[in-house]
Amino acid sequence: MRRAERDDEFAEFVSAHRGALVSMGRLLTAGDQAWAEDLVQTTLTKLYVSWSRVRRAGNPVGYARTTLTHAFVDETRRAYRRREIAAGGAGDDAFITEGGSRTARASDSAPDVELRRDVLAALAGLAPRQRAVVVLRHWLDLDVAETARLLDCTEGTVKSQNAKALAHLRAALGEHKFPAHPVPEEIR
Amino acid sequence: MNDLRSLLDTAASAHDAPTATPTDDLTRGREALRRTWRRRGAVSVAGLAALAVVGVGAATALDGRASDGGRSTDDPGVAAAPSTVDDRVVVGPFSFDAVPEGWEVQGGRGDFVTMVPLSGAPDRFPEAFEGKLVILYEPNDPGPGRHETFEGRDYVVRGDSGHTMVVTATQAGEPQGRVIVQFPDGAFPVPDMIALLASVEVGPGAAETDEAGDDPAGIPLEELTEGQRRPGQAPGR
Repeated sequence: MRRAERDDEFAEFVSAHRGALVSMGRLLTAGDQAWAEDLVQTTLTKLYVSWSRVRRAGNPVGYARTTLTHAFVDETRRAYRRREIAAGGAGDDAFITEGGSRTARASDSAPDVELRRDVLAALAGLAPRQRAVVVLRHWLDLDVAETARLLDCTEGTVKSQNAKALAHLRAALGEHKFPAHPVPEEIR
Repeated sequence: MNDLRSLLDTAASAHDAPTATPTDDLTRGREALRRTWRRRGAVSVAGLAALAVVGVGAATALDGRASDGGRSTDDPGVAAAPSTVDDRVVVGPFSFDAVPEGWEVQGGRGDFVTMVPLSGAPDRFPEAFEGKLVILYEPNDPGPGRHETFEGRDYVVRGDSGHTMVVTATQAGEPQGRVIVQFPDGAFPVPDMIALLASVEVGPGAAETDEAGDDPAGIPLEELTEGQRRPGQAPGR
């Protein structure tokens, strides 16, 4: 595969999917924009290096999501990572403007801003792997088996982590924002 | 009332987040790929150097030669300029039929020969393999791949990170291990590269790379004469 071809395909992929990957990173990191960006850069760099293999496999988006999840899990295993409990709480980064003041964006309606802050704060209260389970199962709509494969754990672990995570989210967000609609693995 | 998916959608959004351009990601990717290939070259050289140290040590112990390890200064383990012998290209311990048309020898060391397109080398470092045609001696099996047979000899074709490798076992009288032709995906038809690899002969110097490390980059392109760079061109793509 020629370099120009690799570059063109990769640039096209980045243009199309970078935003979604950053969003995924934002959820995994409970709103830490800088960390999400770090994870996406790591992911895309690995993707470029393996581009020939990735394109042959035919699912670059899946590869990128897997790599992003692994990068996140790997980082959370490192003892020095302390971003999540930094002063101000996770999820606040996206509410800091360039001037440094905390404010809602003019384009956002106030309820959305509040809801977003609440959801990110609730996600921040989850253990990293629980958060990963929530993102993979409920945002990316992966099934239990695929989530287990991606996180390198058993399906039973995914189900139990998911149940604990949802219980936490309901408690943190309240019945009004997150009503109790059981998800499949909760009622098995 | 919200379902979890819509709550997560709301949390994932950030309209004021900075938008990165693909250019930055491309630059990081290229640098990482370059490092990968340089590291592979370094690992290969380091492995061979270790092997050479062991081999030299064993030879010294066996025949009781002088404490300098028994190596002479004209040992072929160091880089050698390409030349032609009996119409074959000779670079260090390697000899082969011809340099593909449109390519030239960039340089090499005891365990590899690097060739680059005449239209422009990706870089000036012979030990960096990205975007180049490389003949490489490797003591270890680089891994599985698709099997091909040519003139009764087995070859394994495998791809990795934009490059294709054709691998075959060295022959009787050559250092034990594998000899490999590695090239950018699509730069050459695989049968042509199998034919090139079939013509490669590996001398004992391939397993005795320069442990002194005097010349880590081998022979740079600029130091080869015009005649040395393109000794005997083969039809190519």
